[in-house]
Amino acid sequence: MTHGPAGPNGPEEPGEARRTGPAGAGDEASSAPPAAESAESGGCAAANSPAEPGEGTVVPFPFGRNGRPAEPAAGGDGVGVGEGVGDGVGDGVGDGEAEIRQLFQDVVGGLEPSAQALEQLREAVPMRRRRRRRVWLGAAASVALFGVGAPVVMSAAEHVGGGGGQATLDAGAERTAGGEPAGGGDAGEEGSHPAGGDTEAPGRPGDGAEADGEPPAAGDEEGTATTRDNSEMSLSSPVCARTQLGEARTTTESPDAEGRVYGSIRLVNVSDSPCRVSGNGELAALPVGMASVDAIQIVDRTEGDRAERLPTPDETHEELVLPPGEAYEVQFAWVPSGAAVGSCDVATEPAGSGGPSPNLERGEPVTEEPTATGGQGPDGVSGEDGGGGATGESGTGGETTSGAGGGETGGESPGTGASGETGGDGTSGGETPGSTVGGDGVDGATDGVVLRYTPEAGQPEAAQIMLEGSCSGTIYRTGVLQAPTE
Amino acid sequence: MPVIAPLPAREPAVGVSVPGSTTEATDDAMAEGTTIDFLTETYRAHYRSLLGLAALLLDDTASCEDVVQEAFIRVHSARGRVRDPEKTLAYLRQTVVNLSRSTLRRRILGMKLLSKPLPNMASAEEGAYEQLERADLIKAMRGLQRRQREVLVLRYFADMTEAEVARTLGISAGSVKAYGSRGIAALRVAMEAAR
Repeated sequence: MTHGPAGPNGPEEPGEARRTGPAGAGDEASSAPPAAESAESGGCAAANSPAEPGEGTVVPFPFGRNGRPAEPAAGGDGVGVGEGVGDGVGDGVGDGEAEIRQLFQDVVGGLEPSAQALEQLREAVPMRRRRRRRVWLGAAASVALFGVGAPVVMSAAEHVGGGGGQATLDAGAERTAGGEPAGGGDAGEEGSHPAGGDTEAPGRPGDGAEADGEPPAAGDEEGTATTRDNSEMSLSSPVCARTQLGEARTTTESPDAEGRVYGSIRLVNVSDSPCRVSGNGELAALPVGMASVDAIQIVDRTEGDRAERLPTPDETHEELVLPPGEAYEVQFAWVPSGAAVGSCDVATEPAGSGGPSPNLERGEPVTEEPTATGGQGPDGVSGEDGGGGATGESGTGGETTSGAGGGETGGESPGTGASGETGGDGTSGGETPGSTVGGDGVDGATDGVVLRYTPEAGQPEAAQIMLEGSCSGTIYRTGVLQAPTE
Repeated sequence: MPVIAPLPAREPAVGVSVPGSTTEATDDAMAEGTTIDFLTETYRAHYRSLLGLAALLLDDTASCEDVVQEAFIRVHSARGRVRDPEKTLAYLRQTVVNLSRSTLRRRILGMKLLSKPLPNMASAEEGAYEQLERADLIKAMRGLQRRQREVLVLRYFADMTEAEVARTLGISAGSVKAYGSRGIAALRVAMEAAR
């Protein structure tokens, strides 16, 4: 292998090199390794009792000194070395092979894997897989973007000099949309090529079970990647502004046997350019009505804590680049303290109906779409997604805000404050008023605690989770996670 | 009718949704299980010998374990590269060789330090590495050129054929011969000097 690639591409190197390698190597390998194995185990076994490497090396170093004939074990190759190199060294070399083998075996024979080696591998391998997949998806997205973007630019350029404005536009449009052979065809190739490199392997027979995650996701990626901003998306991406994050969604699962409730808060990059999520954001607990938050702790997820099913801290990202339309999530777990199991319900919205959330009672996962589609309305940036947003821009926003302010316990109610500010989101159109107004109901009917999530980018908060009743326990939260693609 | 999975105590009525999730969980576990078994298998078969390989190739024996771990992780996390046992060993060795080149290694170790503290090695293992440090052969090996050392180790410790060594190192078979013989000569000189 050349030195250059070996550096940066270390991880890939073996695979690429071996694509031809093992096929050839296989022949020899099939015969060689058994020999190697026995030699090794022999070496280890021998070395284990005298295990001291020191002793091993005390053995005289006899290459060629004894003038013994080359040993059969050294085989044809040994002789080959000798002959090829020349007489002076040759005889000695062929002769020394057995000894050098033995020396090597002896000196490292005492090495034992550390006790936790296998355990660590078991953890690390799946983790790396996930990371690889993310990296790979990012690369695929870049390539796809580039593939789509380049022809568009080129065809546009081509036509700029061409002639009348109208005609130019039309031609350009057709090209992009139709994926005309010249541009589109190439793009397709480019897009799939690098992907093929990696997918090929997973696609091999017998891999079906594991491989499934990647290819579909890749396809997805290419499909959605219709914007132009290309390959440089990773590090150069600006930090996500609050207005770029929207379509907030919270989900919770039904309580498990110990009353633990797992859930997640998901935020999408609703802008049309990639941005970087930096920092975990804030998850805070605020009292509603008569409740107090004293009995509720919010802690970061650590390994070995009671929120077993949350991803471990090393799966979280300090920085995560979100291509347009991709989402990140923060997961959490509500772990009630022993006595409180069952005395507290978890709802992902400020219970619209005023009473305890019926969904939760039934133990179904609750998915709430539109709580806060942060700021896309007010900003007016996201034309695509905010079809409704535009309309809701000031009208709805105004309404909800006032409604919230009115129904509230004094200005800073977490629940409604949020809806008010983000109320500009038009996608929630029909529903928002219902659930937002419900904010009043909450305060009227129940006491509890609202968990409020605010992205690092700042106000307004993106999501709330209502804990109703007398709650005491701990919220474990993760940092920023890559949300699964949908 | 016996209920297979324990239901959440609070909600006995939701039995309907439970079986589904239980099955999924089982499937996941099984899928996970197959890969883990393979990992364990390779671990048992090759981990020690790779540890030796790393120890002979590396300048600092203390990072042997890290290098081998990293190699295992890389090879096993690349799905599809791990199906054929023979190839797996080849990949692993190749990766260890790559990682043993210092610049690259420093980089991954740096990364590793950032993400996770190194395991504190049990004293017995430390002892083994310390002894290794003192071994004449190891000292002598450090005096060799990197290529010579790689050729010798792959050829005589990993028992590769010359062709395999050539492929693994990305050099010609002729170079393998040349590095090999010069390496042996240099090793002999170094060993005698040490005595």
